[in-house]
Amino acid sequence: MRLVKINSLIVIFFLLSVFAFAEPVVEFDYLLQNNTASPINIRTYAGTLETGTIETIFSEYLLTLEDTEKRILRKVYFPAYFVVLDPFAEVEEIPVTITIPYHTEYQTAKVYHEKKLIAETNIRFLCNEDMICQQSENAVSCPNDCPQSSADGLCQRKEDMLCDPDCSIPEQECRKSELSTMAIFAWSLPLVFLIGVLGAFVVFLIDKIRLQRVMQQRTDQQQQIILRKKIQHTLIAAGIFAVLALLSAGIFFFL
Amino acid sequence: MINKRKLLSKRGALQLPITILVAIIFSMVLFAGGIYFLNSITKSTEKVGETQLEKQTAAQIQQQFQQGEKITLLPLQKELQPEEHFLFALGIINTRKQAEEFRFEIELIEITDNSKTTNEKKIDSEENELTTKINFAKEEWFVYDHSFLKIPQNSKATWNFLVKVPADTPAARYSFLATVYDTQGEKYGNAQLFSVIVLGKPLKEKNLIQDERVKEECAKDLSCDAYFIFVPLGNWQTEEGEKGEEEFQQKVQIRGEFFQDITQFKFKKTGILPLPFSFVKNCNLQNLEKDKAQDHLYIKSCADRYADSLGITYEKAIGLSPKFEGGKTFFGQKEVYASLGFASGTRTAERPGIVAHELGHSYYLCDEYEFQTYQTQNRHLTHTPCKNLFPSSCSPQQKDCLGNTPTFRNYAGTSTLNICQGKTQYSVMGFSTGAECGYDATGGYDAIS
Repeated sequence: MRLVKINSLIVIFFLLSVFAFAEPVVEFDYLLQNNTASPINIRTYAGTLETGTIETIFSEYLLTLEDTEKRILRKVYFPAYFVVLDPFAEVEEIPVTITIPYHTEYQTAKVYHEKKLIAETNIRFLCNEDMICQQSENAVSCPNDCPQSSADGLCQRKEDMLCDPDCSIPEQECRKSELSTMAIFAWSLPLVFLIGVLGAFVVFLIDKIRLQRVMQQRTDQQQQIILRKKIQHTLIAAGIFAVLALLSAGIFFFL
Repeated sequence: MINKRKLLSKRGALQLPITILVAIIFSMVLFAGGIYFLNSITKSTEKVGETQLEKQTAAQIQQQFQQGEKITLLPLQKELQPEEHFLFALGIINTRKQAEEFRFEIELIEITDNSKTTNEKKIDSEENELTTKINFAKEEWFVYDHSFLKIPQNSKATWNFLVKVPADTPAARYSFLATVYDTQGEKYGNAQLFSVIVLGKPLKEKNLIQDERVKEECAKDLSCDAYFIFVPLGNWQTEEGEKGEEEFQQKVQIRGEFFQDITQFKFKKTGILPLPFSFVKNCNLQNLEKDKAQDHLYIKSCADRYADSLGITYEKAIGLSPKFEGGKTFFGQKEVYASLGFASGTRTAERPGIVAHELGHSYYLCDEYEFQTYQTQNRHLTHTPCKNLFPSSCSPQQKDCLGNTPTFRNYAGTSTLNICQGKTQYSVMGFSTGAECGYDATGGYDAIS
């Protein structure tokens, strides 16, 4: 009895341990009736599939994926319970979602009920390989048409140094680059003022040398006055630039 | 004279570094040459080793074909370090009456912590300490040709596939199944089980109780392991405009936290995401009817689009209406319909447990309030029986079974609008007393992981 309990605990442990793997998947949403199946939505994304769910359940309903040569690439029996809960009642129509690994070779999706074909959908629109990224395609379904992290309606959170325009919340790496751009923009202002200070200093030095020469020659008094005034103005400009540089640097530093 | 001496001493000073420099350059050339020589020797040894291994593998495959096997795989087990790779061989013999095309697929079966004994694993399962959800990127592990291979009658062929263990892969035994299919999608021969034992750092056990801060942050920076998306249905807008969205977010928080606290999601980084009203405008969710199957798919479709815009995959989509009309779910589906509570005449009663109840059904939990109903539902689930047992404390004749009761975990969220009424008797899948602010544990909600 104890052995049975231990065994069942081990079984439960394995049942509870969900193993999942990320890969390109395609999700089919069908509106299912006894002998009809209407596709409502077909979607591809990089998702996780729980192991042991594919091709292990036997049912009257079967989904097959064929390639262009009508060879079956994937065969999935999926459960269909024609009941609704709260309150519990039998119904004629139910929603069914089937998620399976995706391959670009998929051409046709067929749904069978007891070997009778009840729905056939051409899913080539997921990837028509024309080098144009169309509305129904994305980087997962058609990597040749839609480059990674391109504008294709699917946000790809990958550390690829690319900012996917489809992400409504920016990726971490893009938030960083936004910040660094902001920082460069912010610090460029004190830098400009600093260049102004340096420029004024150079002008001051040149004028000072010229003034010394003029003073040594003792000829042109008027030029001496002009140069002195120019030096004064240069010093004032340098002072203003220095104050502005310090102020802007201080503001950005404390902000 | 002095100048000459100085010059000589300078030359002497120069002579020493030049000698050292020459010696350094010479030793560096020698060192580099040595490394190159050693590397080439190792490579040639590896090549010899590989060719011998390939020959051995081919011989072993041949041997297994002689024993009547249609499919063989070698080696059945291989120890690898992260970032190491190894070439496996899958042999096939076409015993059919004509030439046929075949292809193969590899599927992950299980990951077991090889650093633990069976007893330790058993303890883990009892205490629920090991929440083993490992994201496994298949395309990073395997390199193989998915296309069909034509094999003449009674001919043999061998596929080689490369297994490369990604960096940072936790140490464990990774068991895979290689299955061969024909053009009709039928399995050919026996599926071959093989394992890759990854050496290195073992699987990390996650903390039992999540830090609230971590929970909140994971939803903000989208680093959660699982997400539940709440889709607003019907008219949430009040006269004040934005208050409707605020109210929706509050209701979502209460319901989401409650569900998390009563399930295995308590031990995972789980994100509860209320869909912004501005986003819902793009979805066609006007005049939805909870009984219509198609409308359930519209709820899912809206959640799909939101998930795509965030770059996440999600567990379930919950359509939440501000009405008081219970809930509606189809077994095992990715979407559920829930309202705020129940109405009787002009009176309304708010029941946050409805979301948990409906989500329970979406994970194949059956109703526990009456044995007859439980049995009927179980009979309908022909391929996946009810994941919960009928409460042993209730008799088959009882009409108001409260359902399974908690054993070791209790609802740890904030008070939910006096609905709990101070009771600790919870009923989520069982008879509704208005006290369903807890969870059921004995074979019930623990089945949800």
